[in-house]
Amino acid sequence: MESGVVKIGVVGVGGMGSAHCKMVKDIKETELVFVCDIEKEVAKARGEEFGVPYFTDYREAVKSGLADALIIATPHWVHPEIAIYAFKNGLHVISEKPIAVTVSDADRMIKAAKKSKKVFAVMYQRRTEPWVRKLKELVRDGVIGEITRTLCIDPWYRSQAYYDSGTWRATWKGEGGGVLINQAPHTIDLFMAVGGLPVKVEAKTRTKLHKIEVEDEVCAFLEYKNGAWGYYYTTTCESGGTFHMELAGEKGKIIVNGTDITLYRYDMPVSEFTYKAENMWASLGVKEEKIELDTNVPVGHGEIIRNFAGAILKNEELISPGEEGLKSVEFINACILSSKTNKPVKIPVNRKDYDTLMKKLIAKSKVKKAVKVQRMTDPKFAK
Amino acid sequence: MKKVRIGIIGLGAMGYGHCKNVRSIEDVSLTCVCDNDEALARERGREFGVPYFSDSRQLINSGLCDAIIVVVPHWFHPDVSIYALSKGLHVLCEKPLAVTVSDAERMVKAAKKYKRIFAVMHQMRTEPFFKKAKEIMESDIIGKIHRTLCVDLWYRSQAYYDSGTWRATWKGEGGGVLINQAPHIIDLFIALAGLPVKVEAKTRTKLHKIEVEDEVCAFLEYKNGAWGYYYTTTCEPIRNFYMEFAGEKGKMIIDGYKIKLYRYSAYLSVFTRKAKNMWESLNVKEEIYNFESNTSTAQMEMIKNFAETILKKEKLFATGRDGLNTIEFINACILSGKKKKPVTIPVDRKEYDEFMAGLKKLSKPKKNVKVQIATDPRLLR
Repeated sequence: MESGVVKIGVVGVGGMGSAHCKMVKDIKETELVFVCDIEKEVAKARGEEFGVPYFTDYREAVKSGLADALIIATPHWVHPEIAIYAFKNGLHVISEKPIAVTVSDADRMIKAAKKSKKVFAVMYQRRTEPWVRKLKELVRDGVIGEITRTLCIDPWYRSQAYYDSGTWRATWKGEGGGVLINQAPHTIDLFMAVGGLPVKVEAKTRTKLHKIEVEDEVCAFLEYKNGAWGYYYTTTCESGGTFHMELAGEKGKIIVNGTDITLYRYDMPVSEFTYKAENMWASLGVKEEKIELDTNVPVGHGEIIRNFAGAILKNEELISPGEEGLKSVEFINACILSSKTNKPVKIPVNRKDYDTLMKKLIAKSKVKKAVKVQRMTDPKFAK
Repeated sequence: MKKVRIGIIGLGAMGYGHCKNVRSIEDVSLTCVCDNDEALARERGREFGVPYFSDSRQLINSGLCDAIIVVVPHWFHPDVSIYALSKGLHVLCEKPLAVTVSDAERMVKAAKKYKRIFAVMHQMRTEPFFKKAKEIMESDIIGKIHRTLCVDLWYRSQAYYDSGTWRATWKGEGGGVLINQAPHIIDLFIALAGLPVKVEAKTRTKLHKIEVEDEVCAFLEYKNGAWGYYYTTTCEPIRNFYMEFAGEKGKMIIDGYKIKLYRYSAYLSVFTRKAKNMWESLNVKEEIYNFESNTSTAQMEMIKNFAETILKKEKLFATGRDGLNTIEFINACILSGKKKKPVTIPVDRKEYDEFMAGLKKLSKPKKNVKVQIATDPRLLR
């Protein structure tokens, strides 16, 4: 790599992608070398704004030889196609989340990445946040032991204007799902990383508040390999900011409210104490601890991009490896399949079943009426 | 002011506690006690200096009391209560009101027929946090409810379950965590959110050697279409209850003895339609309230409220009807869990009775019982 800099092109610069362009320019280890968008006006405007060449066809962009790596920030459905093309042509890739809409597409991406031996990352930037780092560390270190129950409640809010801001938004054809595929993946990524991937999902989904064809409310009963039960809920029909997660284990428990973590350590594993206690009211000793966070760490999209460059340049360990992006897609697909077929779904999700379902949903997908196009990134991300 | 003369039927750990409770309340006097274990009845009668009985009917017909507190095993609550009501006595019954909805309903009907005061010992209704939560719901601060959540954790060791032959058996209790530990929080949850109309539950015996359930999860659906989730277990340490009520104008979270209230600047559904900018968000104001628990005095407050309702027509904290609602919820969870199908509320009385009769037949006497009679120390003053 010339002078220790990764040359990056960004594909899809209408929304989040333009924020990525700025970050790529600001990061020492990366250089923005082109932008690409299917809409010529958008591509041209961003090209001029950032002083780089622009393309309207990602193939041309990839083939131009200008870039070592791509950031893909297009609508979800085309992540796989572009990523696979890039891998085949020897480029490294960061895909926006979710890596794909379907597990079969995700499989193909991961396979292509492996074959190419290029670096593959997914933009789960929340993995850089101190509370997420800490949570994963606690579970990895076995502080709470084997997990015996999980709970994850992740409410979001979106107005109708949000959904009306793009023709692709909240349609089967344009996104391949609703809250599950767009808002929830970050939390699902975390929930899967710490709670593990369930083996069975029984979900209900519905469109409750908004005029959209995809789901805006989801609840799911989960079962894990060791028999533990869990529950998952997400929606865009409530005020956000009350994220709540519980991980109950053999040796302790973790409760998360927002980004606050409380850890409970037991004196003895629960199942052992249950059969050792002699007095009927004897209770297990518990130590409660409010977890202090190391806030002095780099966070956000920029850190994922920097870390990606680090992985390319000096084999740095990826914070968010692309193949781990499969887990959230498995979970999302399982929830949608379970609710649409009204039956429990096993993970790994049957690829063929899901592709068939998606095809049916897309065939019925209607072009949105009364769309008032608004193209802007969530102000929380546009620093 | 005249005092309410109270008889206590059932002198096990909890009944004994109530004897002491009654003696320290001004508006009531303990006038007689009863237990079918005659030796125990005699001992308590002597200790408190009151006549004792070993047959509840004799106590009820003795003319010694105006009201009774029923503290016998759950299955016997209906017979004792209904007989007392029919003889003109007021009744405060321990929770759960009954094991089955049909029994609970007979009790409620009897109270109505004989025009007696009929209360249930859901003493957590006297908790300051609950009073505040109820006030928030009644003043319509969060509006129509769109979603609920209730996670209620208890822990019990095997020694607890081995401490009595009747414990955690279909025959002795008619259920596990749902019928014994969970009724308190179920009562509060229902008092705040209302009864669901449909329950899809799973129940199982996970950690303990018992024949009834020690873990339950249930998907709930309310009349207005809102969804909810309920979970309880005796397999998990750290006593805690956690509830969420998401509404049209706000959200309330009860995390143990703390309430977090979120007030929205507008009606959610109206704002959702009217917002123009795609990232425009509801303004949300957060308020936090912390409370002390009144666990050690709650039962006394219930008895006091019961007496004051008899004497001065106060309002009951928890009526027989409230007790019945809790049984609807419990029965729906057990029936749905065992039959693996959604159950609608009101629960089909006949179906539940037949189902319970079947479970009782399969119920086996317990082995390895080491009898211990002691009240949860947290309830002692």
